[in-house]
Amino acid sequence: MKQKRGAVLAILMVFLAFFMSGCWDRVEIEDRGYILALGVDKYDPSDLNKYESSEYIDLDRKTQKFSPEQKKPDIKTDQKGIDPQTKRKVKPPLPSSKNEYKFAVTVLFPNLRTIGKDSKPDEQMRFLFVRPTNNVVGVRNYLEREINKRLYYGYLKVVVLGRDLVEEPGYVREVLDALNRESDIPQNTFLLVSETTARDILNTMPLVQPVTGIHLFEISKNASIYGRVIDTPLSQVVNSFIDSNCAVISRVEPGVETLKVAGAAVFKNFRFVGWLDERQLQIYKLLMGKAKHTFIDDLKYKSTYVPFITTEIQSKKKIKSEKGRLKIVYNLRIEGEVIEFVFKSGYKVLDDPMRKYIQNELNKIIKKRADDLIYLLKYRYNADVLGVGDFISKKRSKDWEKLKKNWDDEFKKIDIEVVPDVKLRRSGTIY
Amino acid sequence: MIINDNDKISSFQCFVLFVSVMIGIGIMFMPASVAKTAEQNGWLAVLLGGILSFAVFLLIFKIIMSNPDITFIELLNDAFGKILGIFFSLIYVLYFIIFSAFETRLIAETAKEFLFNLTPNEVLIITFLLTCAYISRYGIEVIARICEILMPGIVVIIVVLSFFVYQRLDFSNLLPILNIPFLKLIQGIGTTIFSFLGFEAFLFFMPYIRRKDKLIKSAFFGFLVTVLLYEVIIIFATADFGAKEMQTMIWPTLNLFRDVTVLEVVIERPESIIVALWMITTYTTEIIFLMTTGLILARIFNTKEHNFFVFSQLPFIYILSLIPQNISEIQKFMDYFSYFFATFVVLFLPLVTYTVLSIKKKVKKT
Repeated sequence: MKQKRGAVLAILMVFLAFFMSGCWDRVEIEDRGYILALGVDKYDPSDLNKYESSEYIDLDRKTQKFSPEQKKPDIKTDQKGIDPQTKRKVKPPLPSSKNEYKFAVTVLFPNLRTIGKDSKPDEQMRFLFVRPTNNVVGVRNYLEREINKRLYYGYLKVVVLGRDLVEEPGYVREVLDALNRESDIPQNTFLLVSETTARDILNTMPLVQPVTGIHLFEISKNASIYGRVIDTPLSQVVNSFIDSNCAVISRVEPGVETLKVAGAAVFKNFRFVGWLDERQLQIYKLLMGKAKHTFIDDLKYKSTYVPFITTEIQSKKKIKSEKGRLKIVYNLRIEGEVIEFVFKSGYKVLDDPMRKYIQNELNKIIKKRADDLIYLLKYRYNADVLGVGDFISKKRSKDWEKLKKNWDDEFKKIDIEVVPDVKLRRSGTIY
Repeated sequence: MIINDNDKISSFQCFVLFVSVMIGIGIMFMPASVAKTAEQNGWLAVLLGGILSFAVFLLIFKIIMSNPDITFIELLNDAFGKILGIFFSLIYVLYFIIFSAFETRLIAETAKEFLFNLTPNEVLIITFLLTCAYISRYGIEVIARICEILMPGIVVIIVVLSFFVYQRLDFSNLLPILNIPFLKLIQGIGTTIFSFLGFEAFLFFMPYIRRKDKLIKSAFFGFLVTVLLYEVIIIFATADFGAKEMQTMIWPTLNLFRDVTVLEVVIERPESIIVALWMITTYTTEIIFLMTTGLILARIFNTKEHNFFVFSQLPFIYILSLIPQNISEIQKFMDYFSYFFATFVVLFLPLVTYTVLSIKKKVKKT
């Protein structure tokens, strides 16, 4: 009897062992490499060679805090990337007509050891790897050969697209599909277009926040408050490409000690067609009802500039048909405050001659700038990034059926009128 | 078979069972499949689908209430005789086994995609089935109590998470209303059917229900909660992604809740919570199905307990669940299943039975 019970118990133990070991695919937190930023460039062999030069290696040492004794092994390789002395493959093969890569992907992940207590002061904050590859997200699988971390996309903050890459609609579509398909990548990852190459951007160590990915992410997150920056999360970009084949993706400029997110790139049919500068972007955000604190500083009153900050914005779109043509009217209700003027000037900002003047002039400025922007979008870029087509398809679906066949031409014909209504509410703590 | 009094369920438990059995894995991809036909009017299709299902339930209810103290199996025997009756009962067994197989495979697919990347499908399926079978051996009252504990939690968590989704929605994506052809809307209703199926299990619960007069009320509230929950999910998903983008997604519901960020630090990426939650909802559906099959088999073989039959069906479910090659094939099979098999089993067979029974009674009277 006792033996029987023992046997049953043993069988049960073995059986349980099968199902209790369910956590075998767990990964310890320090074994993970949390990729914070991806940079995608079009593969350019000459450009990659630049990064193999001694000049670059010196810069690399300086920014990444390598100690001077540490030298990079100087290995000369042949065309296939094989070191002639050791006969081992050390580098990705140099490009020839046969093996031309599509992308050069930059991967950035933070050094988790610097967060811990026993971190050394001169340890570098983040790691950066550039690899030529044919798939964007799949670069992880190549890097796993040389990095002892499980690379994980779950906390990806920003994806920077290089300037060369966005000229190629096919490549942009590949990148978008990869980002949209990978289930680990969060939909609120911000997309940015670099003014130069994505690698340059991620290679910079901004002073305030040295981990570039977090730096760009936090700036983009502030964009919902400030008017000069636009936030372009992946889901929104994908959505607008699906709806209208056009999109706006914010721009990032490299600097020596900092990175600047400013302006935006306009895409049409997955191809980069032009930039929006900061002022155009302000108006674009006003029209889209996204900006809250827009800073308008080109109003002059008696030889003094009067800066105006908006505090409340309502943007309402309406469709009218005039003589068989559709007309879209944007009603902008803007409230705001004047934060600077001349001390003891004798003028009262909140009182009537000046208040009315400021309001009228601001209305004119905004209308002028909006008209310029609409002209630019309509005739120069011919990109419906304002979502006019989408709006018509929602409100006037019957008209849309006729228009959508050659929307590119029809978009030019549609009148867009902007009616700003600025109200000055506050002027700080003095009149 | 004698049913003792402590194996009876109250009308509140009926309501909970209704919600638990209907909200299954279907909701995970229902917004996408509805959007493929009904586009931005998916919410309307779900509403109409819910009303239609409730109408079908009322019909079933009328049929089983013709003799409320026995299950549908005995009704089948009365109508078609012993041999045909058993044959039709076995069709019900087959129906629930296939249904369970769908649920099992889909929960394994979801878990593999979002939680256990390296765990083999087979292990996920076996563990899920064994956990379900463990509770299904017990009587209907125990299962009703389990659902009573689990169901409110699920509904509350989904509603709470919805509040955090709310801030990024654009409700203009729901426009224009009703500009699609009527036929497409009908097709859309068809795709919602799978998400509502499950209520037919009540064909076999009649003797266990304490207050049969209140069943309609429980069913009404059960359908109401289910429809409301589905509506919240489909409206939010449409508003968030837009109908066009949603058509390209495999798991729109999961994507909807995946990028919820609660206070930056508290919850970031709650997808594991959502997948776990859906494991629980599927779990409640699955245990009811396993038990129903057990009950039917117990009636056919006239045994006292149903717990042996619960385990005996697991190998079949396991094998069936591994048949489809990929998720799109599962959905294709599921469409066939809900259009043909479910219509036959849920609507057609009860109707025929009822007709035959009423003719027979008329014959007897004269």
